[in-house]
Amino acid sequence: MKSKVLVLIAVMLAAALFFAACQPAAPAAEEAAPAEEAAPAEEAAPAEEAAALSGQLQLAGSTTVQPLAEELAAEFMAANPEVSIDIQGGGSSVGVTSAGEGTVDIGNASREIKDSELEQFPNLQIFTIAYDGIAVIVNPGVELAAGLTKDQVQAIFAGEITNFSEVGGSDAPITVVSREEGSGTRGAFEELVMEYKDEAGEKQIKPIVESALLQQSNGQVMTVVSTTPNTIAYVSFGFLDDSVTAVAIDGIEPTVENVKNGTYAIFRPLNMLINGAPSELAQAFLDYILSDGQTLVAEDYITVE
Amino acid sequence: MIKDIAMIGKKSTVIDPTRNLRQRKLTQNIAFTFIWLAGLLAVAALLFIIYYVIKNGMQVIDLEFLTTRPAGGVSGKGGISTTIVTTIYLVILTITIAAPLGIGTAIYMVEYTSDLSGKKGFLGWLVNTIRTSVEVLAGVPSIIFGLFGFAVFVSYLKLKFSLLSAGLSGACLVLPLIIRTTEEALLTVPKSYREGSLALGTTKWQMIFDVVLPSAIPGIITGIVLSVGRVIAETAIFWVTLGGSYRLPQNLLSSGRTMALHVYMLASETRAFEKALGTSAILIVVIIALNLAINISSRQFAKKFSGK
Amino acid sequence: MKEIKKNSIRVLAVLFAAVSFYLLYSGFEKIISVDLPVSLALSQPQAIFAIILSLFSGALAVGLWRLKNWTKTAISLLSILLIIIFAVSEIFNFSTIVFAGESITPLSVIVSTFGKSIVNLLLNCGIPLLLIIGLKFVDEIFLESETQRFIVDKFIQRALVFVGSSSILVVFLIFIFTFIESSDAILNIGLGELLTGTVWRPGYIIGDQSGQFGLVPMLLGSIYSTIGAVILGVPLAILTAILLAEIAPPAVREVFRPAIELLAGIPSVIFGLFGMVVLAPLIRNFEIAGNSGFGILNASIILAIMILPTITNVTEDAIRSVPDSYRHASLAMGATRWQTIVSVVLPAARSGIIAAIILGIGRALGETMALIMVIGNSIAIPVPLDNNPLTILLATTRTLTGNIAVEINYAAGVHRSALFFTGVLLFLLLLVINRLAHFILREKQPS
Repeated sequence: MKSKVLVLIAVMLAAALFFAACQPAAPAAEEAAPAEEAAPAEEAAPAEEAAALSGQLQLAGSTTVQPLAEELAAEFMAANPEVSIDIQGGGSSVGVTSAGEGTVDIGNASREIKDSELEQFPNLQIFTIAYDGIAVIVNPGVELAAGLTKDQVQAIFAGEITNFSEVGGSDAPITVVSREEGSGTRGAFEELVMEYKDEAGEKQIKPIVESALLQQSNGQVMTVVSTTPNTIAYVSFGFLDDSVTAVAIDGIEPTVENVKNGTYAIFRPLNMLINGAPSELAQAFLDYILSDGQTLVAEDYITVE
Repeated sequence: MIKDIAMIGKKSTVIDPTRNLRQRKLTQNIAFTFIWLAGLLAVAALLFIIYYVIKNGMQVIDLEFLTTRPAGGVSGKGGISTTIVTTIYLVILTITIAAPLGIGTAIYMVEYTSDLSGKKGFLGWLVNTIRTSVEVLAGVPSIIFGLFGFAVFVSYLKLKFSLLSAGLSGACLVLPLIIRTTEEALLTVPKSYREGSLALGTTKWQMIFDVVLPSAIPGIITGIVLSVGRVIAETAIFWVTLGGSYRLPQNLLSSGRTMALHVYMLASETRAFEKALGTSAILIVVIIALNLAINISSRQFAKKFSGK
Repeated sequence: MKEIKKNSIRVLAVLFAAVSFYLLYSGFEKIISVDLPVSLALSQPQAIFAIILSLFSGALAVGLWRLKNWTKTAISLLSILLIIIFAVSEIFNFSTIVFAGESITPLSVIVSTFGKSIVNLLLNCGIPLLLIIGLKFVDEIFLESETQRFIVDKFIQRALVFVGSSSILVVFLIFIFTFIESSDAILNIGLGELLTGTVWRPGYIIGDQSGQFGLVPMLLGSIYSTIGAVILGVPLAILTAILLAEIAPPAVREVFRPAIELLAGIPSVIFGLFGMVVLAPLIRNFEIAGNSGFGILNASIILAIMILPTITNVTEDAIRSVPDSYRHASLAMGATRWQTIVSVVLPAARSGIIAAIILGIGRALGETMALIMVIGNSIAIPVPLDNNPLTILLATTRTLTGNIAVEINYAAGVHRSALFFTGVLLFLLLLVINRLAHFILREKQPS
């Protein structure tokens, strides 16, 4: 008898897990009535109070937005303990696609949304929560006292300049590190730095050299550049730290002040995307970000003004 | 001395037996030395990796590491508590989904249809197809399961990045393993057990449930333990279906991070290599424990059936 | 004694009947109390649920009264189900409190939470537990009818057919979904471009709709890294297998065998981590322009270690299955053991060894995460870094598997379809390789 029961437990366990897990919190059942009556009691769960927010939000997308969103979410969750916000990365295009398809509640993107994407997801709503600069970084072992010009940066990333000696550094071949194609940081970098005019006067974008090491997030870029000699890459301002050297472009240092006063031109909007009308919880979160949250934004990024 | 008389005109080959043997023995000794070196190299590689990981990882493991959650972002701060729990959840979920299906399939193949493969008719065709499917599944690389899980569970069924999607995908992965080991376990149960039970008047299912299965349980458990090891070690599938949230999953539809995934993220996103090594150390210890358990239990299993 | 047991079960039956009537009553009361026409009232989910439960409870009551075995099993199973549900909820709660925090939970809190969970569990599970224990106690008075056993047997038989078909279903679904999803790419990009194009730029971000989807760089990346792994790993694996099968004394075998098996179980990310942290700096010591420490060499080394156990295992089995008579005959003719191995055993085990190598190749082609970490993921066709052709080992590239893993999350439209096609390509490649291995293995029958 025991073994019979034991084996069938395995079958029941699946149903049990599904049962137990599809409710966010398990209400304790009364033991007065026999067991079956516990089920309708669970069904009649008390309605949410209008005052406290509760629920789950899933965000995904840009790895640039990710740490900022995580900080904002932590503050929001501290103020609303019943709320749970999960954030993942993947790149800005993940944010657009996931938001558009409804795989997540809010998508994060660190670039402008393309017309083709708006065609694909016509109900996509765009909320800009901050502006962020893109810095060109090199491994600390690389000496570039005079910084680089924008043309030099373009040539390096296009593979036309292949040795640091050509731009005032030591004799070392350049290892270019870039982001995956779905990256908003990459997209913004390409639009702002790799753009040139061809013979017909049309705007074209120089493709980044094929042999570039491709990383999937700002974090990965930082890891590679800080530990691999003779590397150059681009990264979001929010990720800069002492493990890499930020390069001055045309003499302008990559700082938040320089973006604000307009001298440093390589920056882009950080967007949150929602398909259709935002849910109550999502709207509350957005409202928070665009009001009190801006103080958090101001620490490393540029606020929405 | 052996001379070949028919080859008088040519240079005759003279074989000195003693020198020849010495040459061959020398060749053998050289060859065997190389072979021993090769074997030692293989084991040394393993030992070095384990030593490196555990030595460097041990430094970060303490109570704080184990009970605080990862801080997320690029700082690499925090512990791995939520990843441990998520891994346990995922293992339980995957086994719960895969074990009944796998054991049921194996029971069906061995008990109900073992005489049917090759026969014509619907059931014969079914049995052959099942067998082929299991073999195909066993050969599919894990990223394809991830792709499949992403397409079906995350996107199509709108389950999003969740424990459920990951569990279902992982179940597909370990299903062939469980089927194969259970089949083997069932086949080692002697026929006399079955015949004796049926002779006493039990139905087929009673025979299976009360007589055959209990004897086969050690083998089945081996299969399940192997699957547990597989799930713990697996990354590619969960990378695509589980998402990467560092927080604790609240229910089946939450995202999370397993320890193996956490190692990947620590190594690539943050520079907290020591923490990655620490997590790896825990993983390796768990795998060693699982392997030991399997070895010990299979030895006992063999003893039980040979010393009858 | 038996009478007492029978009567106690009858009491339980009456209890269930009472519950049933109560549920029926409350269900109808809900319907009546609502000021709606009967049809709308009937759609009240709670009322319907209550009525269904009451019917079920009534059935149980009847079964209990009649001392039917199925009732006992049903009640026991339901009670177990409820216990499991409560236990799972308690585990979730416990984890949230103890593990999800940002700071260490003090030991006292852990212990007290644990205690609270146990108490909660006991309170909630009191009734189900009592039911189970009680029913066990009165086990023998329940009658099992012939028909019941027969019905259960037949039902299980039918159910198992479905369960057995689950694997067919999974394979079927995998095929359907991957093929359907990849059809877009095949139609719009064309097999020619996909299989022979040398540039992979989905063009997604550049805004240029016409992306290029050539898989040749990835194919070459997979092939080169696999070849590297084979060159490094196969000789080592075969020699180790010979060691284990022929030369090593049993004591050594007992140690080496589990060690090799352990190697097989180590998660692949750990190998990737190893490649990043240990191998990359080592490889960077080669003073060659453009050497980043990542690339084919790094990938080949860790891949070789990963496929070693597979090849060693199968080769060892193949060598063991060579009949001893072969060896004895050779030794009887005066050959040394080494000569026997080389001239007799290995050729006899040849097909098994080839199958082992092919299985290792399959494993190498299917590896994903570890390679992503060490191979660089660039989209270029791997070419030597300078005049020395060997430096191709230092070139970075991307594998077919890596292609999927890196881009699947954000690919859309034709790009996503192309990734599924990559999966299909991989699938077919591996299927062919596996079939080949099985074919060779089956061909090799001990003569």
